[in-house]
Amino acid sequence: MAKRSKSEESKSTTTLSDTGIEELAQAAPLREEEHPDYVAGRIGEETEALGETAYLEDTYEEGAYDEAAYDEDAVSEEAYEEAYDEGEVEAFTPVPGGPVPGFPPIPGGPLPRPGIPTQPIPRPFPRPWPGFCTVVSGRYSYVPPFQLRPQPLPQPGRRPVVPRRVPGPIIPINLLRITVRVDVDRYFPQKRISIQVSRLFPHSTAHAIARVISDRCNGFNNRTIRARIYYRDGNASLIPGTIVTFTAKRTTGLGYGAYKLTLSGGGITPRHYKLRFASRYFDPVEFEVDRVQNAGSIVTAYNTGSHPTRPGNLPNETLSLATVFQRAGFDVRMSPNTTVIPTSGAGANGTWSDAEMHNAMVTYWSRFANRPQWAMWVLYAARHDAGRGLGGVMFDDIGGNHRQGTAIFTDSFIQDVPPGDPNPNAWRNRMQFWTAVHEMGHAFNLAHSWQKALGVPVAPGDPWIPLANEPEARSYMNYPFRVSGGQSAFFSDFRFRFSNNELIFMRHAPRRFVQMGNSNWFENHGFEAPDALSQTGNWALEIRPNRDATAYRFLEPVTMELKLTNTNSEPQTIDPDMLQDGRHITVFLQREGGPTRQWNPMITHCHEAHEDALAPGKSIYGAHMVSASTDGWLVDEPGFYKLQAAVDMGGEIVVSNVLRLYVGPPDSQAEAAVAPDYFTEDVGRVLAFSGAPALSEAENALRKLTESCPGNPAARHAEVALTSPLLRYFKTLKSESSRADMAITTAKRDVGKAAKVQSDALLKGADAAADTLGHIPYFGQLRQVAAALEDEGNKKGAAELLSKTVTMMKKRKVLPSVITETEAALK
Amino acid sequence: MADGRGLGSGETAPIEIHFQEIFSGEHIEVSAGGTVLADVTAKTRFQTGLAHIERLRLHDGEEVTLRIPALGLETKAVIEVARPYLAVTLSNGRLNAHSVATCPGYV
Ligand SMILES: [Zn+2]
Repeated sequence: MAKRSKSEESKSTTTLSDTGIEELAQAAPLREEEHPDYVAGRIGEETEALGETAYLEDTYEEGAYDEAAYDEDAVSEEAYEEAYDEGEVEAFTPVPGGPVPGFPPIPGGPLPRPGIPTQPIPRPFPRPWPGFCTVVSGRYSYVPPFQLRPQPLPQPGRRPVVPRRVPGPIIPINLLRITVRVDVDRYFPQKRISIQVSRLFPHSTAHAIARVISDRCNGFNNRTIRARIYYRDGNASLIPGTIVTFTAKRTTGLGYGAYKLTLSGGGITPRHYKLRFASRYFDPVEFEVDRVQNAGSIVTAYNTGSHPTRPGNLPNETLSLATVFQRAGFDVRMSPNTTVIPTSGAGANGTWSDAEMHNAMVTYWSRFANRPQWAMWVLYAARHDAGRGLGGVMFDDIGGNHRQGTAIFTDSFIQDVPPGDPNPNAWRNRMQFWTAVHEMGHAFNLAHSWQKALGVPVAPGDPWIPLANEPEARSYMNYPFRVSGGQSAFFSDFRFRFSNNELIFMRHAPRRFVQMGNSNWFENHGFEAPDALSQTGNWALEIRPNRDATAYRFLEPVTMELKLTNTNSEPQTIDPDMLQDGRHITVFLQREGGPTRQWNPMITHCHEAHEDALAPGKSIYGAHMVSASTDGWLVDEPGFYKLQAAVDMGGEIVVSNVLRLYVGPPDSQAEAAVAPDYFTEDVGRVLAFSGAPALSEAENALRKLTESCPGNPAARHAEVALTSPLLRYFKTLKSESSRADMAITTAKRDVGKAAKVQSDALLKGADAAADTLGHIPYFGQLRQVAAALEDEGNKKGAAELLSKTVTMMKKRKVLPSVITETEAALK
Repeated sequence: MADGRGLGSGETAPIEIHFQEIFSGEHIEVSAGGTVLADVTAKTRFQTGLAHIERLRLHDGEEVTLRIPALGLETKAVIEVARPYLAVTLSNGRLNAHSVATCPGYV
């Protein structure tokens, strides 16, 4: 009798009950290290056979994978090694294979197979220990390059805080999420690495699958696997390059301690991503098995040695439904809610229609949610309405969320043992177990073996890899009685597994194709993706207050200036409005100790897309009031805040420095008193829009502020916002009592009054006003007032204001080009 | 389902016509002796490989004609009561039918 693995310890009885919860038969699998279908790691090097060499030759001959890139890779690798020394890479991170392997590794035990080199072990040549590498297959996630480290907090106070760069991003790590699935050993390895990228801002996803072209063990637990991308889905720019390199290295312990993904080839500068081991499995999934009362004894586990028709070297072990899908790469959780469903659920006829099963799923499945989730309901019932000929069905192909439920019919043809079978009881058990796995395979969107070529893409750009039919496959997805030689030919060669193509689909296809309740049944053999912060060196983004102090008064709106610089040595094209239009940038704010929140601009400008060439070293600018976002105020309490901006440069995310600022407590009773009416969404809008007369309560709050707290810089913002509508013919939609009474009215323009208020607000204490409004809005506002004066015929007033503006610009060292432009308007 | 229909002499026996793969909503006419016995619209459910089962009562040796008017396809089959399951497929531009003794199973 085989030893049981610790992790999959089991019992093998089924408890039958009439109602309530019951227990399922348990697995008793062979220890994986002893299993002939398990690959325990690697010794030496393997370059894939069967045409894979051609890939290598291709790349070298065509230069698609250039040596230069490889060299750069090596240089960066040194930097990576330094990171180890600095302790940034944790030692003793979980070992994918589980326990740290014994030292030295015991050959004789689980030898890595297949692919033991027939040549002498290549490189490095015998070291103190042999070139033996334990398993690495599993799921990895990207660790952002910086860790947010707590900074010593300056003492709160009113003294100015000098702007400074703060190390580490505050952008939430899920801005860019990378999941890497490495599939080179453990059960039925497929020699694939797939990469899933999803980027939060702007939302974009990508997926790529790469075929392994070499797998090298460079020494004890020091493994390098290279693979070439052959399938892509989604935004290809998120996963640049053509070659994927995965490295797993020992650090200070015996197991692997550091993992890295490198994208290279295709002429790109190699990108490196530090990875963290997440799981030995590729995805989690939960199965809930429910039984209809009259379904009798159900088979949820099978002893592979119980029927004599089987492969000669098939291990004798008891597989459960969980074991099968664990070996397919899933972290299976069996729901404890195994219920017995009353037969009445099937209606008066006692047999089940698809609709009745769907209703039962909604009623009895504890996880039912009608949304994509890695969970499935498995129903064992006696018979379907279609009769004895239907042994099982993945019935859930109606409605919005397919593939959530599947059924096995115990009173069906799957009980019909062929005459003369040597072990009818084992045959029936095997057939019911096989059927259950088959139906569950459908819920993973697997087609029948002879239907693989039918997976028609539903939309352009959304196809799964075209597959050839596998009519003779010894797979759970083939019909045993359909192959040449019939069911005995099938089972004499069936290893209780899915085919390679099926495993590649389940483990590596875009997850929406596979996940239950996601892509519709049979539609998408289709995809999803992570984020890589820009490391190309093409652009630099700076977020800055453009004033000396980063201390803000309570109530004072925080305006940030963004500066994007071309750091490449060549001119690059750019949309010059992209920092201002509110559609390309976002800002993340974090009140220290609180969560990171995303600022979304209240105003976005649509403009004709145009691109200008930006010379090397030149910059474009933008400014935004970031205190209030579309969903409320982000800066409304005293304390320290961190800000970081990100900009989307056509798929490449460029992130800024982190800026730290301080917001003081209320200076007076009056400031505290206006706060409740001030920190409202409407006031945020009035400030962002420079006036919104329709929001009268918000305007009242701002008026109160200007009266009771005239010394607070927020009063300058309020004065500008309250009077700006007077500069133009401001239209509002007014309704007296009903929609029918709605009318557009144009408010009276009063440029003179507005100009007086704003000139006072902006030019008396001009430096303070420019500091609080921010350079760009401040000078923009002055020019707007001058333009309104001129429009009204007050050329003298306009000229005076522009003259003062130019003086102010010179004093504050505004860009010469802006000054020249303003002076030109003066003439 | 045409029940107890008599054509010629002798007892009728239950026959199942299984429309399997690959039908995509075709309209199929089942007739015998010039009489239409059933009109079937068949669409294969890929997770079972079955589109529709039509249950009829027919005589041993009776010839049935299956026709897809829209495609101009037709095939004939002679009913054998000992092989009461008629499996019908539409593949490679042809309509095929063959009878089997045991009920085809689908999963
Ligand atoms: Zn099936």
